[in-house]
Amino acid sequence: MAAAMETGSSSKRALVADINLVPFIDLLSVCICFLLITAVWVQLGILEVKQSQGTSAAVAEGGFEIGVRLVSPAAVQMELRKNGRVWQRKKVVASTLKELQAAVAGVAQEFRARAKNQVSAALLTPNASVDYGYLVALMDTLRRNEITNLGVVAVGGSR
Amino acid sequence: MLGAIRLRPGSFHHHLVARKHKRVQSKRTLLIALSLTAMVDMFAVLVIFLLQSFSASPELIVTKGIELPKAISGGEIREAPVLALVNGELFLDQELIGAVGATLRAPKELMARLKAVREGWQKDYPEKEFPGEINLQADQSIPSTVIGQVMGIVSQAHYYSIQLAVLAKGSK
Repeated sequence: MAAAMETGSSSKRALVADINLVPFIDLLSVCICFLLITAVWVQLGILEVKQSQGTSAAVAEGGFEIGVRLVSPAAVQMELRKNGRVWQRKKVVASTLKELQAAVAGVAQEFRARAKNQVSAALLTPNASVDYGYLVALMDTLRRNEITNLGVVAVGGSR
Repeated sequence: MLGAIRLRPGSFHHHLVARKHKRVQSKRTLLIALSLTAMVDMFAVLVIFLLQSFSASPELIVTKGIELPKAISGGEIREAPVLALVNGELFLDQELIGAVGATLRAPKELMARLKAVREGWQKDYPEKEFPGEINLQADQSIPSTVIGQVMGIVSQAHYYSIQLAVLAKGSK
């Protein structure tokens, strides 16, 4: 790259200012190589599950808990509980996962309104006929409805 | 010029010299100029794009053969031991523990390995409390009860904060 400039002097000599592009291109090449090598093409994330055994992750004192029992890939039983007592129970049935997620979100909002936003946790009970992908999808739905403290019942074990 | 020979027009030597002169005259300088501006522009755009997608947070190595479930509300990955359920086998930090079924029936080996990891961490950070975090990778087609049982075992080994690896929705 070169730029010719008039100096304005009487001699009117053209000043040629050359910018050496080679180190600049070298630097850019090194940057591109480094960034390409370290680039992450698959975006991974985590859904945190807090198992209550011996931790503070259990239901907050006096708080409500939503119980979500997976009955089948198309049906879920939801309960609003407080101190072990069931306040409200609803069965959600849908034909697709998307519909199920929407219905679960609706019931979760209803429960939250009833509990005056004091729902502190949700406890999911898995089922052998339901895939892990479904479980995660429902957990994702609950998290998006501001129920972030999630637990999973260890079927066949203690929780 | 000494030794110069006047060539007779129409002679073969005259023809050769004339041809050579013609060639020299017709040879034009071919100037190939590489336009660096476009290349530098492209490089700059690439660098900006790659810098934007750069992530300094720790990354999980997804074990081959696992199709992770998708989630929108996934958080940022934190560094922790990785427990992976792949094709009916259980791996802890890419070391084989055993078959999933056998491990669920007799979790001694898994418990011992988890305990060793916990003690190793405690040795490295004696002044800190063990965070009890573990990353769990599993295929989305696995029955949810298997995951529930694994979680039960893991929480018995004092890993209470289980981070389920998920694909952020939108990525392939």
